[in-house]
Amino acid sequence: MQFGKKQNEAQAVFEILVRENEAMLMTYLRATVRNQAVVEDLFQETMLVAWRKLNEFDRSCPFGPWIRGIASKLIIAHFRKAKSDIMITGCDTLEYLSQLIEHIHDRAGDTWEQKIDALRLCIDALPDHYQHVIQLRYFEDQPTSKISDITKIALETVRKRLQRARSQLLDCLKRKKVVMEIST
Amino acid sequence: MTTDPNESGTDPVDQLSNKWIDAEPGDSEFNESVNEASEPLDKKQLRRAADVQLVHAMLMGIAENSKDVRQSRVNKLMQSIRADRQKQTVEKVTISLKEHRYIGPAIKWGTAAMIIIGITILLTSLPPNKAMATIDQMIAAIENAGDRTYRIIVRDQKTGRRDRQSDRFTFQRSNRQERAVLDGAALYLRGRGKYVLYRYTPSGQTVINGSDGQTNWLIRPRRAVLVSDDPQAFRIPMPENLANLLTLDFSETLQQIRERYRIKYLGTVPVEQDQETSCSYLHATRQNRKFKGPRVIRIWAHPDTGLLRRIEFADIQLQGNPEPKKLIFDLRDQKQLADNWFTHTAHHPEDAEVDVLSE
Repeated sequence: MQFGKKQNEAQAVFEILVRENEAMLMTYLRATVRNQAVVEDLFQETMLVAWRKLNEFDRSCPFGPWIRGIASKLIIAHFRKAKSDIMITGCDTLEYLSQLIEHIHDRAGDTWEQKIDALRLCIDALPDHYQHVIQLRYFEDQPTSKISDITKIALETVRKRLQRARSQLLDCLKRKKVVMEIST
Repeated sequence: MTTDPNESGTDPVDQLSNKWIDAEPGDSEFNESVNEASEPLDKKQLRRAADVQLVHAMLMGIAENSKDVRQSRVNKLMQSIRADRQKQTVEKVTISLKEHRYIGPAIKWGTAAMIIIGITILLTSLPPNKAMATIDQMIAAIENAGDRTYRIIVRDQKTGRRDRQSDRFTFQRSNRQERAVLDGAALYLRGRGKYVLYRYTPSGQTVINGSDGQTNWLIRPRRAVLVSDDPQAFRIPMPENLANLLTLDFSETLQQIRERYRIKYLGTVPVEQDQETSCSYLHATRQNRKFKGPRVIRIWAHPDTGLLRRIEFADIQLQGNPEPKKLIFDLRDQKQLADNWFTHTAHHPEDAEVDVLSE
């Protein structure tokens, strides 16, 4: 049937949009929500809402800000509902984060990974002891307590190193103009 | 276990956001430190926290360099979307049924009476439903229509691709002659019974069939023009499952569809590439398997005038090709044609040899 065929075509186009924007949206969600299971749920929910509202999407506008707008509402609803979860950046900062991500999205590169490739260079430029904790924390998915056990370093020191490593990465990314400075 | 004295003394906002990032499940330390914060963070501090959290998110992104994880995330979503589509279809039906279920008793009786009256009126004076009314309007529209030009398209049923080589109709029996191709042909119509069909051979030669309503005629490359009063003369060989159904002025075709197909009116929708114009859309399914006709026919008509905009016959079997095809007639033009356009003289040189065949 014509309607079914159109729906299938729309679904195929939407799947392409999902693949193109998956990494970007996950970054946005991970920057605001700590619990990874919730991040995964919010990803699914955001994209499902986007699919249902696809008719409302203005095709002359970019897809990224629209999808992050949907995600923002769901993030706020999540924090209202889940009182045990805490959002330290606040609702106002969601728009700021969205701008940062849009800036990254506008960078050269076909994929999100290519656009943030500078981050790898920044990690390589870190002092060894910072690189080590970043490696364990992110690439080996170890919690800080476990990193403390592995490295025989006090938990507090592990956390400080991670904090400083991330701070240096941020400075590096700003120098490379991946993360932009937005005047207040 | 070692501690590094140089690791202390960082920004309190960084400390807070990093505690948020690195807190482990069941870790109450972070929540306590937020609750203990005496003053809310200002805009600059919030942005600094957001910057750090963005770096954390980017790190998580590049660390998750597994295509499988990302693939399964997208697959899960697409599964949900498919389930959502099915659910919405079911819900629409359920809501429709519920709306009827909760009508108050008084309204129920009133509605019942109205329905009975309505049905009576419909049975006595109106076509049984919107689908039939649309078909009737379409048949009537042919009587009054001006000149119309349809483009004929043959598509592979499965791939939707056009395949000009596959729809060769046997037109000339001589082995030396090329066969005319139906895909890409132009069909010119005036009222009922007047038509001209331009088809082309693979090498680009033209074969023209036509009728002025009185005589049928046929023009072939390098051969005499044939003219006959026999209404059956020079008929275009049609696929077996269209032979009983398709007439080139469409009025008989629509009448047959009305009688032999179950027709559903499915609202107004745009026609394929022409998204600006919405047409009444009919979906016809063959009622009786014994009837030699395509199983499904889709029809688009102008919503006001009933003029046939497009008709699509599915599962057509063309000669010499077992793959099922779609045969589509698509309205391309409504400009007025020359008065003599439907006579053979308008399509061949004056000195062409003409054979008038007697019955």
